[in-house]
Order: sequence, then C-alpha cells, then structure tokens
Amino acid sequence: MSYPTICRNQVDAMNIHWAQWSLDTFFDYEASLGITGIELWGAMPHVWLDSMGYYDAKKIRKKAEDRGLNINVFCPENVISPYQVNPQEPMYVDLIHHYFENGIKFATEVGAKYLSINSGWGYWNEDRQEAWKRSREMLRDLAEVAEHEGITLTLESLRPQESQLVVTLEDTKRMFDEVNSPNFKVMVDTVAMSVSNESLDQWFETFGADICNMHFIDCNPYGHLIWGDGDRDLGSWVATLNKYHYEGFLGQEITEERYLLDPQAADLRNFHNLERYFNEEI
Amino acid sequence: MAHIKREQLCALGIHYIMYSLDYMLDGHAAAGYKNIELIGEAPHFYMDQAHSQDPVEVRKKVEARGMKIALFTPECSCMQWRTNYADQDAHLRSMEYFKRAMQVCRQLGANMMLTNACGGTLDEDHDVAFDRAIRHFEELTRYAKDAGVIVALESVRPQESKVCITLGDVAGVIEAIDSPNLGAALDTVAMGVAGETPRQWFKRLGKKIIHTHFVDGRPYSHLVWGDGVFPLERYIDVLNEFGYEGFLGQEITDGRYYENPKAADQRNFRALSKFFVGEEE
Repeated sequence: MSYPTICRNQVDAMNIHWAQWSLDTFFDYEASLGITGIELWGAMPHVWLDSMGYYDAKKIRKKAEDRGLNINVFCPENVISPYQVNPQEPMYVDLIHHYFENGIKFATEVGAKYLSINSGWGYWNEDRQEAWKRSREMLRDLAEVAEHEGITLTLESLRPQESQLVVTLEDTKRMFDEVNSPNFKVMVDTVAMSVSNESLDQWFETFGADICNMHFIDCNPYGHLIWGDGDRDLGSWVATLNKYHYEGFLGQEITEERYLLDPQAADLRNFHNLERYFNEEI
Repeated sequence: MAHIKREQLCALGIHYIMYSLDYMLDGHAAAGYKNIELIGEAPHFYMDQAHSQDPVEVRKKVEARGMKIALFTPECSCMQWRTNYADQDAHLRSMEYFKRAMQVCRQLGANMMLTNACGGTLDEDHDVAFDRAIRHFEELTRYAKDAGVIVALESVRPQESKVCITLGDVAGVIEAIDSPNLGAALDTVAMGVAGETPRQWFKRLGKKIIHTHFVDGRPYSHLVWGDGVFPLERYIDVLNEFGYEGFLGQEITDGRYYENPKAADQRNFRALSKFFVGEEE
C-alpha cells in the first residue's frame, strides 16, 4: 500500500505573515520546526528592493544557510502598488522594469532557482487587450533578463479581484505561449485556482512538467490560509501531485491578516498538517 | 446639534487603487468633495526616495475639478518607507523619502504631511522602539520646520506597528518633542481597535489634534459610514464639544469598495452630508 506523500524539502516556508517580525526571528523559527526551504518574500522589514538596487543579499543568504535553510524561490512584492508588472505611465514603466530586473539579480545572489511573478493588473477602466500587451512585453523583457542571469520566472494566476489579466488557467496558458521563453514557466496558486473553480488535474493536464513551483495552501476558496483553516482536501491534492510526479516546491504563501500577530502559532499548526504527508516515518 | 462643514471632508483614494488618477478625481468631485488628502501611492502619485511624479500637474488636475489638496500622505506602512526602522541604512533611505515627500507636499499646495510610526518589529522591546520613535520624529520635525510643513502623526493597528498603536504612545511622542511642526491625527479605526474613544483623544491632546481619519469601523476595517458599528452622530458631537474644525479624512480602504469606488464615495458622502451646516440654499 502506498500512501500519497510529499518530501520535507519540497515545503517552502514564506515570510509574508511575518511582516511585523524580524527576518532573524522568522528564520530561527522555521529552522526550529524542521523546515529546510524558504520562498523569500521581498519586502521590508526583511528585504529592501527598489528600482535603484537592493541590499544585503549575501548577508541574507548566509543567515539562511547558517540555519540549514535554502532560499529556493524569491517572490518580490508584486501585488501592491507600485510594484506590479503592468504599470501604465511612462516614468513608472521604466522604474518598474528596473525594479524587477533588480529582483532577478537579488534572487540569483541569494541562490534561488525561481522567481514568482504574475501579470500585474492594469486599470479597471481600460481596454483589456492594451493592458495584456503591456504585461506580455514586460514579461518577455524580464524573461530575457532571467535567461541572462540563469534563473527561471514562474507565472502565477491572480484572483479576479486582483487583475483582469492572467486570472484563469486559460489566461495562464495564453500568456505562457505568448511569452514563449525557456526561462518562463508556470506555477499553480491553489487559491487563484480554487476561486476560478479549476482543478489541480486540469493544471497538470495543460502544463505537465512546465509547472515548476506552487503556492500550495488551504482556502475556502478565498483566503491564503494555513492548512486546516480552509476547506480544501489536502490528501487528494497530494495524491494528484504524486499522480503527475510533481517534485517541485510547495510555497506556503500565507497572507491573512489574522496570522500577523502570532505567525509562530500559525506555522506550527500548518507544519504539523503538512508533516502528516511526509515520506518519512510519522 | 451635531454639525460639520462640507469643506472639512477630505476624500482619500485608496479604494480607487485599480483606477487611474483622473477617474479617482472625477469620482471625488462628483460625490461633492471640496478637499482631498492625496496618498503618495501609485498609480495616483508615484514616489520613492529618488523619484516623484510631477506634483504641479497633479495639483492642476485637482484644482480643475474645483477641489484642493488639503494634505499629502506618502505611503508609510505597506511599502519600504517607514519612520521607525532600527536598521540605520533603511532609516536613512526612509528619511530621504520623507524629506522628498515634504517638498512634494508644498508643491501640491498643502502644508500638512501625515505619517505614522511603523517600522519597528514585534520581537523588539516596546521602550526601545518607542525611544527610537521619539528620536526619529525629532529628526522629521526638524526637516518639517525647514520645509514649512506640519507633520501629523496617526496611530495604527497592532498588525502594522510595534509602537504608536495607542493614544498614550502618540501623545508621548508629541509631548516629548513639543513643536508647532508636529501634531496628532486621530484615526478612528486604530482608536477603536485600541479600545479608545474620541473623547479620550481630545481630552489628552486637545488642539494638538490637527487631522483625523474619521471613518466607520467594526472596529477593524476602514469603512464607508453606515457599514461599520461606530456611532456617527455621537462622535461628531465630541468633535463639536472640543471645537475641532480640522479635516475629516475619509480613508476608505476595504477591498469590498475596489470594484466600484465611485459608489462608495457617493454613499459615504451622503451619510455625512446630513450633518452639514453653512451650505448655501
């Protein structure tokens, strides 16, 4: 009898809900839980990244490695203005291009394999096609930078409240095909997927091995929740990962405000719920 | 009888984040606003420590719609620019940003800049972060004096900051610095979350209260008046009792309003307009 399992080193802890705590405290706690991988969210008070540069990449990498943690994925802030892939005003376009370029460089310096990105959103009061074109051009440019730096961008879909661009599986496929770069792959965000009423099977059937990363979290279908706080079927999703031989990362992109004051308690509960599926003796 | 003036109301555009500046200003003007509190946040006003959108052009757009910019609030809690970092380099970059914001403020035709004391972390000792806030606000106040700007310090929720999440902390910073270039802003949501009342704020700070974010809440969420649980008329009575004649910033931020921010502005303005006095017949 074989059970559905995941590997401990597939699980990447994230620091979004640690936004009111120092980076040291976050790293210390994840290491104490037995976490080995990190998807580092690139925002303060943990990472200062802007259009002109970034700071402390080597120091941050060392802090992680000293605790036995690998920064597998870098996720620059890209859902809060001004940091989105799809700015409109000329001055802002230029600055944002530099911002993501710096993000890619930072990612390689901390040793990450992937950088999580989305389409941005454009304005609600503009033509979707025009906004789509801007996203595509920006993502193509950034994929070139990524190729040069030796890193891969993974595109995630957003919720319809966040964007009118890449929201569904179909949108993701279209953007993936239009950008068409070896350094531009796909990631599943289980919340966006659930909100669009899609299944994990559909994503694997469409993209197969081009799915390189995931934000693999509970939801109902909204909310980026720790496992146990939503209503998704963890066991059947793990079985689907096994069915398609997915061995990529499972980023724990927990964002709900309710976790900000006590992220330790949230991560402890989350870790125990994932641990039940580790391919280790439990 | 509870009363306010139309000119006291200040529109804020955080809930227009999915729309352009022009669309936002049209919405504020159509609702009936005469003043706005401009947020230094893209896409409505891009700025960082080295760049900013042209303030003069934005000012013209506002004035062309019969409105004025009453104050400027640079982004200061979500992104990297914060007043109360322990890290010295992050502090220096943030101070460059706030100095720039003060210049922008003047060019927009305003002389008040609002901020808070975010930047400390929850794993710090309160008093260490609080003493640092006093030092940093002393520094900011010096820059404000040079720029001819008054800084308004608001409290925020514990999900946003280590210090200045209470009246006691905000008053502590303001009393320690005791400068005409530094005052307090009463944010009704942060106040509600802290379990405080407008009366406690006015009793402690009186005329030092130079601005408000006067919105409905439960107490969490920055809501349109009528969507929360705050007693509007009773709160206005307290403003009147203490002779407060400053602005009432309508800082509506909840995601539920992002789809149709114009409708939210209209509904909010109507709820407040019942208390208007001094309107021409």
